[in-house]
Amino acid sequence: MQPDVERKVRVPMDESAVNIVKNETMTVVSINGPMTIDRIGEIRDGMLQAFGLGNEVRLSMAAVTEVDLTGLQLLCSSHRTAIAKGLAFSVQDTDAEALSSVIELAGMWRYNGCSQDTGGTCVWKREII
Amino acid sequence: MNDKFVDAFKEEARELLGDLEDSLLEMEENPEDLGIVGRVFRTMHTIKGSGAMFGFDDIASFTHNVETVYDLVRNGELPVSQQLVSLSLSARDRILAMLEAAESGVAVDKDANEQVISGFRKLVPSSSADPKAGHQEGAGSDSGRESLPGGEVTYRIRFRPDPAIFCSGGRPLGLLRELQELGLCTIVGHTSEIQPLDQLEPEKCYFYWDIVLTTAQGEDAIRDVFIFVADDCDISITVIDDSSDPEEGGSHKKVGEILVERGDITKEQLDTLLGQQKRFGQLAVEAGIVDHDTVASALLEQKHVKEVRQDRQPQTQEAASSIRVTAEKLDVLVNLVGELVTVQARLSLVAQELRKHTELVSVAEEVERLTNDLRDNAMDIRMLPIGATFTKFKRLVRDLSGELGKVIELSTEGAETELDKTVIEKLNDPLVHIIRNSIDHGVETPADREAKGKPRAGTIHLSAVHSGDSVLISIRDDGAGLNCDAIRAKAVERKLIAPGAELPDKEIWGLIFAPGFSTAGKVTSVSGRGVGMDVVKQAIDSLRGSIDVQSELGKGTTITLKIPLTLAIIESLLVRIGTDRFVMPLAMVDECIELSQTEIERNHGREILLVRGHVVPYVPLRKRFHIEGSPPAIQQVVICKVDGKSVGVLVDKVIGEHQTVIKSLGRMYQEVDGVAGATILGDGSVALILDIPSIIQAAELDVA
Repeated sequence: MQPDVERKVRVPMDESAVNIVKNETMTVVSINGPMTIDRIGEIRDGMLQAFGLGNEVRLSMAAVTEVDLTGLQLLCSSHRTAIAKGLAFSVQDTDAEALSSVIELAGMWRYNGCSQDTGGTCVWKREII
Repeated sequence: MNDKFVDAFKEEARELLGDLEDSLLEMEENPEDLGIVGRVFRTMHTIKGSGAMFGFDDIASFTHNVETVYDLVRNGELPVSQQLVSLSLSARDRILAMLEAAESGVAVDKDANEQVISGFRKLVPSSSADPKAGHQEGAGSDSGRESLPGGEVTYRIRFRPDPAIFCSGGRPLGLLRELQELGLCTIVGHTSEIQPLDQLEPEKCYFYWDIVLTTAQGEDAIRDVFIFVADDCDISITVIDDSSDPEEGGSHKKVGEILVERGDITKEQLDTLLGQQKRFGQLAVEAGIVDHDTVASALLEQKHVKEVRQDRQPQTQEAASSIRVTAEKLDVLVNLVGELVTVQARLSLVAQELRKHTELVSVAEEVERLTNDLRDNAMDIRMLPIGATFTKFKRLVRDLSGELGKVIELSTEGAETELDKTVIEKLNDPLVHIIRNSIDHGVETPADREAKGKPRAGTIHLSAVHSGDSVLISIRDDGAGLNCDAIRAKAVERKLIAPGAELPDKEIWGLIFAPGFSTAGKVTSVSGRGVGMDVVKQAIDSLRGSIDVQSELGKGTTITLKIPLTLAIIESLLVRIGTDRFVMPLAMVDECIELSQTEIERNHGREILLVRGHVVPYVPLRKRFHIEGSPPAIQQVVICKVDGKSVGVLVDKVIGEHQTVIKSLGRMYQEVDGVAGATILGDGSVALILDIPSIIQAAELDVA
């Protein structure tokens, strides 16, 4: 995964796994293509970079074609990072069948967030389980 | 042997054979679906088992042979083929024949049985046939996963994979999916060990899972799922609930107890916390003993077990509370309820006359309420879903289209729509006629269809849907459609219409219901003899239903039958002419309008009236029925909708709504036109039930 460290520099237009767009108040991260183990290192680095910008982070999953457990882990991890840094974080567009079926199967949906989730912003919070 | 049990077996076997046919046809459509194969196997197995138990040895041994083949299919050793389905369908027919032979005492056609069996034997590859023959007594030796005798058991599984599982190519999601396939499954993924991004090793597995699984397949089946990862992962499986616990009922374990059982907290911690008055889960988290996920998981286990137990309870109760009753007994019940409704009407009438006796009035009201409930319930018992009838047609379409070299798919919709049992029985023949017609005249041969740019396979779509107090049953095909010119020519030839008559398409389509009408050039075994559609019309008329035809040349035909829900008791409108009273089905009635003598005179003898700008013809019933005396100065017209047209019926007075228990007239009066039956009114007198469509038809003929 080492070469990716160099590639993660912000290039909004290209085909990389992570696309970061920053404006004054917010950083919008879009993940493109599979969010799976072979690209998870790259995505992790992208997320770290996004949080490094110091703004609220919004993660769009609209262009994600596939997700595996490492991807779900990364969402949780990002949320925990946000809490630790005191930044707002939200995940959007998880409704696609390819994503929601995996989230469902892995048993992620929650009534309440985890103990770190003091603000009630857990990405897995749903009305129904 | 008690005959009652034998009868019960016969009845059950018939039902099973019905299901079997259904499953077989379904299997043909989805040959890959092992679930259906399993169902076929189990049905065969049940027939064999109960057949042997009740002394139907021929059925048992015959079915055994078929079952052996299905065991191979179930284990994937033999594919589902067209041939297999056809053979199985014949086998099903043979079993039915044996069942009927046992009833009638006629000898069974042994050769036919042998033929089917040898057909099955040919399907079995010789290599696997021999070893299977070894376990002939294999009633209990079913290989593969069969349900445990004890029923469903709920397990708690904690699955903690090796952190390196992702890198070694392990797929925990696949394992979870396999568990899901075993039964009702609640999965909670624990996230508590996941680190923030800067400390996260993204390819390491931080998850572990609590899974609550209710399955009938036993612990070994669960262990099998984990067989390839068991060495590296922590897996613990505990039984938390089985159906054997007599104490269970609606009770369930508390969250605290679940956590202690799982080893997430100790008994002491539990007791300390229970001293405080808060929800336990919250306390445990606040005290830092466990994390949210762990409590959430325990809560979900509680919910899961509760649901499983709830599901189980009604099932056991259902087994005890559902009983088989012969249809005749039900008919008697409905008849009695009918009598009761009549007597109750009389009671209400008497109570009204003796209004001063308030006690009597209140009793009469009570009786009325109870009677209404009883009536609704009794009618409801006779309601059956139409699905069973639909299923029969699957077979009909399959066999007939094969015979005629056509490819036709039957799709159905609304199989759950309920109709009175007697209505369903009477619907069978007309539906068969209509479907036969669609297959023979409607849907073209595959070659013709391709030439017309249609898909090779034709479709016939059967649907049933409720509409008010009727059910609409439509039969739609995507065949050639009705050829208006051919029908017109034929109608002229048969002198049904005048040569130059200009008729709208709808009326021309209606001609196909004329007796003996057929445009088919040649007579096939299926249709073309001109017997059929007029029989359909008669049958539907006798059900007080109506038929609507829609067709587009080259595109297809849709025939819609509108059938009343029940034939026993209907809502109707009570009217009076002179001293006689009549009832008409309320479903047909649109509105009632007064008609004064001056208005009648204004129209100079033409029997029409103006309703909101529309001219509506009416039939004066007094004149039609030759009732003597003179009408009142203001009469009433009941406007009815018949075949989409508004037509009035002139009566002296509309009395009001009436619950009509339909009684058929004696055999002598069966052919009287304009009367569909009779009913007994509250005062004991008889009122005739008007057959509005036939009255109007007769009036039309008189005018013409």
